[in-house]
Amino acid sequence: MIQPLPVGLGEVRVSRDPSQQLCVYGLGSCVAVFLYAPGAPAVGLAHVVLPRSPGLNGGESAEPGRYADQAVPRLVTELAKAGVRQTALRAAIAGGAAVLGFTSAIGEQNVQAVREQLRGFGIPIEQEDVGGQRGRSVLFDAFQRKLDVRMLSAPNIDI
Amino acid sequence: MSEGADPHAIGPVLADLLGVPVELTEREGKRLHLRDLPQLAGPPDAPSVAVYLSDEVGFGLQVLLLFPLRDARALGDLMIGCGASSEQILDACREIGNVVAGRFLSDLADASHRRLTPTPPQSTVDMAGAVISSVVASSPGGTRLRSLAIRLHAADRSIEATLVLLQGRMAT
Repeated sequence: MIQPLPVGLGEVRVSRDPSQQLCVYGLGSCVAVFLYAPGAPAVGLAHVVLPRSPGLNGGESAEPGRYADQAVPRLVTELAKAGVRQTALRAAIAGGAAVLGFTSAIGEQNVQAVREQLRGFGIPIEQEDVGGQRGRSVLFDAFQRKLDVRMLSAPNIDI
Repeated sequence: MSEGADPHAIGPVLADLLGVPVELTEREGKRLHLRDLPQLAGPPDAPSVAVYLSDEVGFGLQVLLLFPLRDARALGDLMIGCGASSEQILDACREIGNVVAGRFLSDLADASHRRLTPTPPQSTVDMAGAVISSVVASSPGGTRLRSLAIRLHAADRSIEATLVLLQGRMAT
């Protein structure tokens, strides 16, 4: 039986149980970064809120997934601890929407920052659903290594 | 929040406008954690009408109102009458947003001796958590957040909404 495992704002989670479905409900300008590898014993998800950490104190935020430049390295490290080789990693990303219009800059910056981080680690993006103006719920099927994206019916929603 | 701005002051204003008793409850007594913010208005993927306003001169105040769809419809019934169109319902929600933001900014203007006016309300129908997290993400560091549950006691049912107030540093 599949068990959804929601990941909150700024959180990083790794699951070794394929019956757990890492997911984010109600994703707006944030970006969900799923990392996985064929045949690997674990998958991971970071719920990125902002592109870059302030970097004032040189330390990591209390929420390791909050900033893209900390979230992706942390997720790679956590997966390595779980026995997943970095060279085998693949990524699926979703989010970065301009909900309410005015958040467009943040969403785009988040997507760009995540892409840069993944490029830096040499991790290819195999699946993505980013941008637009609507919120998303995203789930990752660990069995099929497939991203499942759900949105409210677009473009117009009758109230 | 800021001196002179009491969120509970909007209760009587809404009661006068709508002609029904209004109840306001602080949503969380405990500290609000970042990870949980998308759930402030219930399930984060719940379809909701969201209304957003801020102040035009950089006082750093942001007002976000979220109505679950069924409550938005009930608000339309209350303010316009049964059979209100989607656009009329959105208008009704935006009007409540105007009233709430106007009340806050009036209090803040009195306290700061500045002239403050709200931006035109922006609205959308989307997942509540997507809207909340997007507004939080776009807010500068150090922004304070409060959340209140609003309950309008209409004759045949109660209408519920969530008010999220964010206030950052005042621009000089």
